[in-house]
Amino acid sequence: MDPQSLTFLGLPALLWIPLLPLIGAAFNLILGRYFSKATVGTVAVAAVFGACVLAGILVFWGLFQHPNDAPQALWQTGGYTQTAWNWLEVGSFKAPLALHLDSLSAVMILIITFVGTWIHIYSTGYMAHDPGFARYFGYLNLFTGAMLILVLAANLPVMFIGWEGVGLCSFLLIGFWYENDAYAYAGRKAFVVNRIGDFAFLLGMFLLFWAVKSLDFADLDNLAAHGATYHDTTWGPHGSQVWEHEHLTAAAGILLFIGACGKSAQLPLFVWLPDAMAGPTPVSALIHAATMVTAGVYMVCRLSFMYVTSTTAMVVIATVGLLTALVAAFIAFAQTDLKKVLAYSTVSQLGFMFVAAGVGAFPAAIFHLGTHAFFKACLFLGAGSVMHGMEHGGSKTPGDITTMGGLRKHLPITRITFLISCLAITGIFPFSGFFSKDEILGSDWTAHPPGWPDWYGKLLWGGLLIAALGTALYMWRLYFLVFGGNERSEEAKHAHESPASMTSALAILAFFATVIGFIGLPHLRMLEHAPGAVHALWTWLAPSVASSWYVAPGQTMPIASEGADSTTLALMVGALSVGVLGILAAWGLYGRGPSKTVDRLVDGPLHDAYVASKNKLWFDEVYDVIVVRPFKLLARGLFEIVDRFIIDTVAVNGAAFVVGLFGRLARWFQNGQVQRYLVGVIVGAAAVFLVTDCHHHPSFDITRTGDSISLRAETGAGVAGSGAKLHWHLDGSTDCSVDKDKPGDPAELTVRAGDTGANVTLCVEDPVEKKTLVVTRRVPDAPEPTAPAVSGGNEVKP
Amino acid sequence: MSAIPNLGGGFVLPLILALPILGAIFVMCTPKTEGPLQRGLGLAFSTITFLVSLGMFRYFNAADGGMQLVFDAEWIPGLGAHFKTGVDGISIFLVVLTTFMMPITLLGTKRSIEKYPREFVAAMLVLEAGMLGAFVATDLFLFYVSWEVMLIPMYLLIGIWGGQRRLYASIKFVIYTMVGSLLMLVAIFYVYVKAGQALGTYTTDLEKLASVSYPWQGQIWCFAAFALAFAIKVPLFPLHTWLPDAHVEAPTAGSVILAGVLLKFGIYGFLRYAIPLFPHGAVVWAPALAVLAVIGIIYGALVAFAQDDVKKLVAYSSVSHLGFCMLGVVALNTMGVEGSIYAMLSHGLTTGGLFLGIGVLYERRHTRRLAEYGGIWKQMPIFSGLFLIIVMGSAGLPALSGFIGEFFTIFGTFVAGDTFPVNHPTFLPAVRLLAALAATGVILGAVYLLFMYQKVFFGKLDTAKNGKLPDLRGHELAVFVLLCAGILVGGLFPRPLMHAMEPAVDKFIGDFNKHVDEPDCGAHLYLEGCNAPSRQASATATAPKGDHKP
Amino acid sequence: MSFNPSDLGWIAPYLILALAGMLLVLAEAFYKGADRTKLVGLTVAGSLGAAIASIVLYRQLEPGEVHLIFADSKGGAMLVGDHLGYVLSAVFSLTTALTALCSPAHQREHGWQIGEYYGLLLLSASGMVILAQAASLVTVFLGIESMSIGVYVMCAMRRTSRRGNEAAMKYFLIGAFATGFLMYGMALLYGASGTLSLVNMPQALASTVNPGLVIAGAFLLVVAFGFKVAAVPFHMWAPDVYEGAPTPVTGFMAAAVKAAAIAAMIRVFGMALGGDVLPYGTLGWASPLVVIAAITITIGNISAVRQDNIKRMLAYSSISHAGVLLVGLCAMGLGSPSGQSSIVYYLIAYSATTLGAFAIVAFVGSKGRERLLVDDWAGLASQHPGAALAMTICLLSLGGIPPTGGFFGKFVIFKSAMDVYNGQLLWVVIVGVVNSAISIYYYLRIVTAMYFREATQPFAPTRSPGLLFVIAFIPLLVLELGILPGWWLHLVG
Repeated sequence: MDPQSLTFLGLPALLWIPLLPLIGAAFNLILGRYFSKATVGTVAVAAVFGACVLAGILVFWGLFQHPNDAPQALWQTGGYTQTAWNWLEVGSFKAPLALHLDSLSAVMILIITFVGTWIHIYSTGYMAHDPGFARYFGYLNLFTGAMLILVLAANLPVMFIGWEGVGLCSFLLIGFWYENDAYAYAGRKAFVVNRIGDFAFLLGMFLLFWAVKSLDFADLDNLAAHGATYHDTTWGPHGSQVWEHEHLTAAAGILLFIGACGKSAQLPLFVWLPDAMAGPTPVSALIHAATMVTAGVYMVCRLSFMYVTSTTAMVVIATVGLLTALVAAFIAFAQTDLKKVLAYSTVSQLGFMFVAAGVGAFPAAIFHLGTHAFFKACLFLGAGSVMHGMEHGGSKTPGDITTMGGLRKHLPITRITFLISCLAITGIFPFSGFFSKDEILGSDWTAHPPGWPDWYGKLLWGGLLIAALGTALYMWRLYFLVFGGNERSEEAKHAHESPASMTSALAILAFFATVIGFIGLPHLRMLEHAPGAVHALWTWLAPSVASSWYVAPGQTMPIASEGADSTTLALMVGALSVGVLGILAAWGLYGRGPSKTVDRLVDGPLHDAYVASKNKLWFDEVYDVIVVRPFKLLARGLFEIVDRFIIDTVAVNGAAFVVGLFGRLARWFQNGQVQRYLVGVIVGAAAVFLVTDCHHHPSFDITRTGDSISLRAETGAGVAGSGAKLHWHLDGSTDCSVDKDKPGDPAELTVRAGDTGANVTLCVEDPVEKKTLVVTRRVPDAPEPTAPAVSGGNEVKP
Repeated sequence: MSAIPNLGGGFVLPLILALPILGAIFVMCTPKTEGPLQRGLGLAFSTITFLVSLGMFRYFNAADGGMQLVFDAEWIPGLGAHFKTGVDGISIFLVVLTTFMMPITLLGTKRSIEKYPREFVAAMLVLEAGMLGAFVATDLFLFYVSWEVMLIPMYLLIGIWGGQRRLYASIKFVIYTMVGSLLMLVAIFYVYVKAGQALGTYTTDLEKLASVSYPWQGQIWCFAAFALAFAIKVPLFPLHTWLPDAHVEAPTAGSVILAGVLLKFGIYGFLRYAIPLFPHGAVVWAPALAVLAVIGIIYGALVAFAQDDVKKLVAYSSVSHLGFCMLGVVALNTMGVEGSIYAMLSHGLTTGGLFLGIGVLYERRHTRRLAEYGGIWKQMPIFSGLFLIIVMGSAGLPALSGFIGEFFTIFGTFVAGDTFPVNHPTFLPAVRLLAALAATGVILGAVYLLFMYQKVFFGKLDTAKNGKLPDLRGHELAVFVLLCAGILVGGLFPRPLMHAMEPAVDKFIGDFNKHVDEPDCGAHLYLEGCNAPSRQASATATAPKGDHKP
Repeated sequence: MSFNPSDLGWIAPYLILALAGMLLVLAEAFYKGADRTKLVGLTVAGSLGAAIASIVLYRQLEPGEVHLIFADSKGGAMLVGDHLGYVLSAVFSLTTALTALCSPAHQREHGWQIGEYYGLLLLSASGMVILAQAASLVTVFLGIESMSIGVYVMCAMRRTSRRGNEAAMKYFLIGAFATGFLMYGMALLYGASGTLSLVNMPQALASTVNPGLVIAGAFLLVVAFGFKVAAVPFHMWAPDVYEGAPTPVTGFMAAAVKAAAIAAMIRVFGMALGGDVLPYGTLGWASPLVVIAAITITIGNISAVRQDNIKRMLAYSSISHAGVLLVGLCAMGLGSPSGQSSIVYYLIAYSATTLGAFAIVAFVGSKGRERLLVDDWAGLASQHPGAALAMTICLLSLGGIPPTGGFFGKFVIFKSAMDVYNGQLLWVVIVGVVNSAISIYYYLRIVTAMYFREATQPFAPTRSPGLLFVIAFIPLLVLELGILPGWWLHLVG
């Protein structure tokens, strides 16, 4: 049957994938405290494992459907969408709570649920003695749910739910040991930095909707399919003036990418990730290595059809990725905290992925994302296991690698898995990292974004090669310092292996870190006739990610260009040798614990570099100076100056004070002496009559409708006015002496346009002051419909 | 609900106005000493009011954008003032919010008031009546009366049950509000007289008043007058300084109602009165209001961050949040307006919840200084968890109610350039910039709210006094669970509400656009064309006139 | 004029009051015993009688019907009987009755049990009734004087209080001064028109040969009445006198005397100087009056802000209220159709409220301790919630906050002012409303004291059935006025 129609309890089957962990979370957070740790752990693991199984079923559903008929597998159908309910709808804007399963999201949910399951299992052992056991698993489930929503979302707003949801969970989990202020602060920092990204993400969304009137991935892709729409300059009323050609997708794409920078810890927003290591180690493994931080990469691939229409945005992504990869690799050198090193390596690896995405090699990005998920998770869990051991050995700073060494004796399993993962991340054949990293380097070498020179791709390639060398160096430095040589502290001597729940997870992850690479063998002609599984990933992802640049309306060019086998092989060898080189160098320097050479280098030629790396290139310090302090200062300043002083003291209380002042004045005058009162009366009375001045200003309204002009005298001054004698001079002559003894004219007069001259004059004989006042006014030429009955502009001559 | 015979529903609104009044009278009749009894009565009456107000939905037709459940009785014949009430998609949810918050508040602050419980409950109920009156009034005079009636009980709440500087805060609150509303009164006179002249009969019926198109100049001034009154209530920067004082000094219940409901009248006033009556004025002032709103969003957030008093912090957060509502309104498109209504509802729940939470803490620790707290989570895990949901709702986390409102208000502003009825040379190019600036509120919100949350709940239990704080008691738990449920449901299923308010909002926007499009008749109100010249005008026009200048 | 005995029926209210007054004066002479407060019974009976009489007569007339009393051949008359007149005389009589009810307790408490008081009360009330019905400059003058003289004496009733005597003296001096203005103004008008009858005056003036006299006369009358209603800058006697006089008398002055003066203004400016010509323009009487009104409202309020003595504060507040009434007068003069009815409504609401406020002031004070300072009222709510509530309602009404009579009074007055053609009075309306924002401050100062502060020592209020009745009755009336004003609006016009 059609998977699209699968429902359970009235809710679409897809929804249950995130729902299961969420239910687990609800259970653990609300009721967890009342149940035994065993129950809590079981529920949590079951929830995620259930999601994993369900995901597996749904992803491979097509394969088991009557194979003779039309192809059913995801990579053939291009996936399907299920709508849970109508979430947001206002006017033309519509964002249903819809989930979309296609080959891309399929990869993600499989990784998340599978790796997630093992990390949950691992955690049951790792957190066994923590009082916040239930809370921990609640958060962890909640995270899994949010992450699944993020990847399954069928439109940007729904993705944003997951996007912020995982942010919240990482805030909670980083600050899990909230009693430690530094940890709590790290959590807050993570959330706020993420929010900065999310702010751009929001704007990106608005921009896209404003332009293309939809935020559904399906629509966005279709628009791209006949990509003209993205370049249609008539978008939006102001489209042609504001956004021309690719500028819109460039702007939207870059805004969204800034969001990705926040989530995926790219420059300049990566600062939160290293601090995020404050959280429990499994959290670092799941959230800050395997899944959440890769959300940005996923988002870019998800919107690949949009991004390929804007080389600008793509180049930005690639460049940022490269810089991040290098910077992070550099910083990782001098770190002495086990997890910090891994954190920076994560940042660096994410850089790799973004470079891949940036040159349009989306499958490569996803590929590295997948492999990285396994070996980095394995590394973190290994680190956790090590620290676990060190703690049992009595260490107060279990993460400090300077106190380790020789742990291979005490933690054999951990050591093996760690070794495998290190080989993988370094990119040694045949471990998974080799294939994915090689894929990225290869696609960089051949990259040619439209409108950009070829050397750009080469530049990226070179940069990443250096980064790869760095990776090899710091990872193996780490490895040797932890496991090689002899114990450098008592605690290390007493460290011991972790329980099975932990080691089993390590084993599984290590296994996959080894073999997973084979789902994406390199593009070699010699391999063309190999079984389809060889190119599985490409075939699999083909319908979900863009495979060609969009150049101009109706004109595209393929992204992946088939280099000659020789080049590909040469590149592979190059990458491999770099890795080996790095390992050897690291072995030379740290093989038996930190050697004299290291100290010599550090004190000598490399001293500055060492300090810079040690201090993380002062990123936090710089932000503190240019962002944090000014912000606090501004906040306080606004409050004290604007709010307290200007508005409240000066304006509000000031007004009250002035009133009070007058009150005092009046009070002072009221001193009880009748004489003074009478003086007040006389003066006051005089003043009042002066204010109401006793001269009166006659004037008259002159309004014209059609060619009938109506005149209305405004004789104004009461008795005088009413007693006054009026004379109209339609010819505008101002000589009033002529009509001394004529009878007065009426106050209101209507005449035809022809009968008047350019001006009309009114003579008023004031009976009180016995003066004649003259007013002359121009006759309006044409009726002015909107103008009020004309007034002003009348001059008075006594 | 089906038990109620179908009388067209006209009776429901007068009933929910009468119930609190009755309750107040009832309570005042009980002997001084019967504290629990009086609280019980108050709770009972407000709960009944809530249930009855739910009865509105039995008669409410979500597809109809006009006034419904209309009740109309002549009030002051000489004046043309009617006791006319009705609800539409815009007001009905605000009414429910009011009737919902009241029992919640009374329940949540059950134990916090020892002094004069009888007067306290009575004041709360009178306040409720006033607020409901202002929400359901469809007659300008009735609205103004209710609007002013709200003032006194709130003044007493702050003044009698408030903190140290309550005298200053209470008087400041009243004067601030009065200044605004009195200038509005002048504008009301203007509208009343002009409409009387245009229609031939004097009336304060909103519908009829809105049908007249007033002189352009007049519209600008009147809108300014109304806007001042409403902007003070919102409160819009820089007219917000009464709010922190009022909040800090008011008792928990006062703060909750103030933030939860009272502030909404500012926005509601714009939607119901200022803009429909003076569309041209709205067009002219919209840019200024939008800018002030954005300033308010950022300024409020920044200043909130600078506070060390929890209550003040939340008070300033209201300035920031209401800025979003204001922005949505002046975007003057369906998205913005619906967003801002939704933001109001959500803000009622979240900020109400925040103040209740602070009340819970204050009751236990008798301080509001951030520095005094820390590590509360260890002592009150349940409270901390629920409070976190409220904080996140307030910070606008997607899938919680706060997000929907912020999202659509910013969104509406962002696209306002395409929807604004007239081509405004200065405003339209800037709307996307304004939206972007407003969106920074998303960041800032996270900054100050998490700052507050961390300072209070995280960290070590260093101060001994925090040592043994009891977690939520039964009634408090009920309150917070209800609020959190509301926030969660509001975030996940906004559609039914928005669906119900959509016709009304569309009508609002439609009328506005219609009025703005038609030629402005103001200049020749007395000439033929828009409105027939009235008896008044012609009668006085013949008399000789002078000009009075002060 | 011709004396027509059948007209006596139409001045029944006046006759009743006058006779009762004289009776009281006589009775006082024959009265045995020190405490003469018992006379209050007759006083109340008399004034109620007058009230009933005016109501009966009111019902005799159709709306708009005017019955000339003691008419002369030229169509003029001494007095008129119309709805306005009888409504006002009813109001004055009832105010008098309520004042009388408040008095005995205060007299006993503060030792000024003097019998003449009640006689004088009714006599000056009779003067007011004349003003309400006046139709001739002569009767206006007569009414004003017979009203004032009684009040002069009543101010001085507390022989022991030096402030009281000083107040009476001032009041008398300035009153005399005002009378001069009044006389001269009337003389000029008479010179210009050749008639004393307010009914005939308009057409006489329309055909006058020297409008200069009319203008001068009108302005002089403005000044004279300015004194009577205590309009700025002719107000300065008011605070001292209000403070010095015994509280019930103060109440009577603030409520009734001021109202009567306004009644006279309605007659003179509405009837004689109203119409299509005289008020208008820069030379019309409305233009100085409206300026005076604006100043009065403002100065009255601003001075009240700084007062600590409640009686002085209320004095200033009553000054600003006079300003509002003047706005109404201008509106009426400038042809606002609802002018008259709004003034009457405002008069009723205002008199009731003020009387109530002073009654409560009298209640709170006690022998030796009058408790006139705001601070003396601290914590009243906790000990006498009833009185505090009553005072609050009265103050809110004075401040013009719904749902009270005061609010609606302001509403109708300003509305009628807005009715004036092309919003000439808009500016004064704005001044008015801005001021009521200021006024809120000092009214709420008292509320704040009563509710938000703690009592220093227990209150020993002055209790008496009459006083308590007034305190209980007036707040209800004020609320009724505010919530269902329709009926009251239709009393006149």
